[in-house]
Amino acid sequence: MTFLAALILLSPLAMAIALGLFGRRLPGRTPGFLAFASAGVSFLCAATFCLRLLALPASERALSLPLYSWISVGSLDLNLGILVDPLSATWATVVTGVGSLIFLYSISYMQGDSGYRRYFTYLCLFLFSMLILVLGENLVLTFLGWEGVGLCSYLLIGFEYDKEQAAAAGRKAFLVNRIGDVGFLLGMFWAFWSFGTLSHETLASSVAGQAVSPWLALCFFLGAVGKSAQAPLFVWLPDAMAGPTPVSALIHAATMVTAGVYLLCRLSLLFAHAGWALMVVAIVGAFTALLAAVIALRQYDLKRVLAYSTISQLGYMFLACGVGAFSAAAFHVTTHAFFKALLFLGAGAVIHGLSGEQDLRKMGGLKKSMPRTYRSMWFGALALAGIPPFAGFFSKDEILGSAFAGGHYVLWSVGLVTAALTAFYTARMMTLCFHGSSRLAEGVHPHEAPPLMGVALSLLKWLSLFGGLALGVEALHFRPLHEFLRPVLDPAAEVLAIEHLSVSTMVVLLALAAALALAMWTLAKHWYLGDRQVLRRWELAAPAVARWIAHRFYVDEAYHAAIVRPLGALSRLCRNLDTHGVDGLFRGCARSAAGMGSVVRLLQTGVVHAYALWFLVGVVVFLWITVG
Amino acid sequence: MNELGMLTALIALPLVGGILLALLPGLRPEPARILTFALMLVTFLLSLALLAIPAGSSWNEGPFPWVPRFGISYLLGADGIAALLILLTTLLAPLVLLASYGHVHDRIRQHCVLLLLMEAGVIGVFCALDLVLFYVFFEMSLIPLYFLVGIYGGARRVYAAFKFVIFTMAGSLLMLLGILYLIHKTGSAAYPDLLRVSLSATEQFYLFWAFAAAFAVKVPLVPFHTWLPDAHVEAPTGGSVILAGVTLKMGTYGLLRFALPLFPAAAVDAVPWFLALSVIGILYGALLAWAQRDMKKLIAYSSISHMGFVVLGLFALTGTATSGAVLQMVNHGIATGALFLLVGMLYERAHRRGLDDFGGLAQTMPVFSVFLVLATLSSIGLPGLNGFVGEFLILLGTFRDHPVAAALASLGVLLGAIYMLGLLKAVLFGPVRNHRSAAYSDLTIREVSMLCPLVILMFWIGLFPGPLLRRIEPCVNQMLEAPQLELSRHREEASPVPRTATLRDGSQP
Repeated sequence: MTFLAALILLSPLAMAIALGLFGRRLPGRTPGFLAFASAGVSFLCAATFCLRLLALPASERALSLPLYSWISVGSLDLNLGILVDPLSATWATVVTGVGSLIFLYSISYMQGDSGYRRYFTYLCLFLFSMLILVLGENLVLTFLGWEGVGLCSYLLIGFEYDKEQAAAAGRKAFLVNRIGDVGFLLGMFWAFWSFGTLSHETLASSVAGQAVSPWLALCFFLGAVGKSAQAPLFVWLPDAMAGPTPVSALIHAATMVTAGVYLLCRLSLLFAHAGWALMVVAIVGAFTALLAAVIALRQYDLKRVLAYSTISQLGYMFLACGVGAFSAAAFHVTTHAFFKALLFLGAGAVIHGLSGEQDLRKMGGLKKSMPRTYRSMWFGALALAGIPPFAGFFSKDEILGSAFAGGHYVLWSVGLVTAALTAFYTARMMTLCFHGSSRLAEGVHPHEAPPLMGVALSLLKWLSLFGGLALGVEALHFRPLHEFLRPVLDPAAEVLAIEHLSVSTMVVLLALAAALALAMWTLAKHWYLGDRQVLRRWELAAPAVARWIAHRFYVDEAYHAAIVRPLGALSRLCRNLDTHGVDGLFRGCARSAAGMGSVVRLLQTGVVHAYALWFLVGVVVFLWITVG
Repeated sequence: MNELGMLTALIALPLVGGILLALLPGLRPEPARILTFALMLVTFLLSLALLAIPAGSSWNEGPFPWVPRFGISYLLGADGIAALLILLTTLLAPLVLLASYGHVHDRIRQHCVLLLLMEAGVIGVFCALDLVLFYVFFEMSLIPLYFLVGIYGGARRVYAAFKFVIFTMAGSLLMLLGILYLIHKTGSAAYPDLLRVSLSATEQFYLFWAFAAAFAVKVPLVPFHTWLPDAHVEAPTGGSVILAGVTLKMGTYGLLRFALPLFPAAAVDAVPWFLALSVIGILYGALLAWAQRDMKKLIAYSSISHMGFVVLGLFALTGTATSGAVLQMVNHGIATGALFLLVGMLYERAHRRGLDDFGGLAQTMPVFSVFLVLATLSSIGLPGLNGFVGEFLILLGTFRDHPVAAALASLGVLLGAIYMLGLLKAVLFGPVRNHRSAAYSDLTIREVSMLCPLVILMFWIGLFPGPLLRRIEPCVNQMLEAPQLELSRHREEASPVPRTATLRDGSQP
């Protein structure tokens, strides 16, 4: 058992080390195939674990497998070990499963790149870090993985490091994430001195029944906000699209960015006891979902549309956590991993086929030249838009249903509006990309993706279609994923006393959401397919609003003006203060010592009369002090 | 117990070797360098024996009367903390010598002599248990460094060396006064005797600050830090490595070994000052590092920030934080040592080290880039590498009693990432800005073999810190015993709960 668990982690780690140190001599695509094999092994082990856990009774579904004592000082005793429970097993399976497919896709996609081996080294390292994050048995190990995936993200965004923009985007991602990491760190310190442990299992048991400071929960939440690109820290994710497209699919859509949701689920009990902290989570989630969906309406870069839609969907997951529906969040993470990976890989195929073109305005009519990519993308798009029976419909509407059931009608309506906008921008993207007349630049000859990429696309296509149906249909009380996660997530739900909707209300809500999504889809298709005049009229109707949307609400500019530039100015101020102020003071001391020396030297005239005079003055002063 | 042994050997080997090397007639430079390297390697291998010191106890040598009239004796002792710092010294010394092949081409023999004397002095500092002996070693290590900077340094080397010596001397003179007072008062300079002496609150106050002044300049603590950037920028690579890797630790070591246990009441009173100064140092140093365009200066200021973490951990006065601080002394030596070595290697090729002079080196020097990235990650405390364990323990331990200080210091972790990744971006990534950089050769085998031990240690300490922490923790607890007692007495006086703690032997309530 321990061996199998260790193999999940060691397989990608060993491959990363092997490729990094000795991969230089491997010919052609061998590194890609080897990396894919290691990810596949990981996936098989993770899936085995899921099955094994299923075979156990619900109360015993947690296997703690310590390897050795890592850091042990005073009352702190951290093991380096693995915790396999339904939550970590689910995440690990999704990560390795979708990961393997993206590895497979990359074999072809990255072919001919001079950094081929480096790419797969980083990818294996990423997979290892992500698995540590998920499977680590204590918060510090989770943090280790957390930073590890951040590092790999940094390296992979800046993969084409000779491009200034890619290098800058990588650094930005790492730094914005580090803001969240400070929150994570402080949360750990606070939790340790409050509960005396950082291990996931004992933490859950010592939290139970205690009042937790909401601020403690918000420290962890800050970490989650950074990693999962929620408002106000979402600015790094759109820039992260400078990385290769499979990386966007794997790290910035399917896996790493869901780490924040994982953390919330893992600490669900702590959040459940933390009073109003969950409300903050819900509001931030709903706000982010809406904001990102609005921004996505006006993006022309294919990958950026998808990036903002990822932020928006992550907002839904946070909303779910905030209203206490942690298992709904986990469900949406899973389906989102399927369809968003599919959409990104499809986008990658389009960009590949157009020799690097990403601008939607220079696409159009691609369905004829790329039929297979087109069909696959459709599945993903329908799932994203929340059209039944595709995967996204079930998971998203369960989140909306939970918000409604909890009496959060404002949050629910924000979610519903976001769903409508999502359908709109998805249809807009698909129409601009595949339908209508071709607007391709001269000399671009679109071609279909090579077969290996096609395999990954079609597998994800079916997952996007059936993923939702297979994992949970709330209205039919068919919820295998929720049942599986119950031992980990139910305690929090019990504390929060989650309400459930009646079937009839649920059906009404589902029908409403589906109808809205379909209507918006049709509207967008109609607007963008016909004449392009409509687009301009829509823009001209409220130019100020449109400009704000197009410039992403000037959030980046605001950060630049409010934080980056003042900090830079502060650091230059410190430099001046240091050289002229602090050091100047010491130099002044030195100079005044030297100056005093030269003043005193004036007395040493060598004239005996002068000495006698000074002697007399001295005597007088002495007498005056002592006698007078 | 009372015989001369390993510790004396570790000091004598480089000391006698250095003197012989200086006096031997007709020795040509290159054989001298090889001889020195062999000597340092032997010293390092011998020092590995220190790992055999059982956790919580120490090896002592002496006392042998030296100036019996004043109670001055030759007394050495090494516990887990001293052992680690000595090991760090004996490890860095041969690496520095290897580095000298790249940039020292004149006066090679003098250079070797200086390095050996330096090594002897630093080892002496870390194991001297007689205050006068400690002072002698403390000053003895200063002089070779003065010459290393002053002879082998850059354009403003004389100014930098002079400044460095004046600053350190000014601080250590105060300590000397303190030592003289202690001898006058107690008739002994031996550390174990002094631990048992009771001092009045006023005495403790003056003595603590006299000692603290010497160590604060050495660390350096803001605002006594301005000598450090100048010294680093002008020092040759080896000088920088020793300066940052080892000599700065003499300050924090002194605080832990002498200032805290000998004058616990004054130390506890001074905690707010030291916490404030170290947090200011962390943030101010990081902001300063960010504004630098010279790689060496950047790393020098980052040292101020990182040493701020160490002082923070020392004065948090919890076993967790202080153990983290000791580990972080070692970590900083490894990471910053590696960074200075790497900058030196680049300087030898390009004869420049401005951030704006490079760019795109990842394409032309892949091996160099990998090492620079690893050293950077260690420096910014990426979990899995050594820097994280130290920083984490320091912040965790500080948070218990001083959450605000810990929170502010955590911002230093963030700023650290900003300037260090800025360094990477400017030097390694982006387009090739300097067309000459295509001609730079990648690292040689000699250079890789200098860096490999450090990188292995980064991973080893990051993943298996247990053996080190097991050696550090009991010793730290011994050092903290008196200050912690004093602290709990403070708390009881502040709160209406009746006193329960037993007072320290012989001290006044």
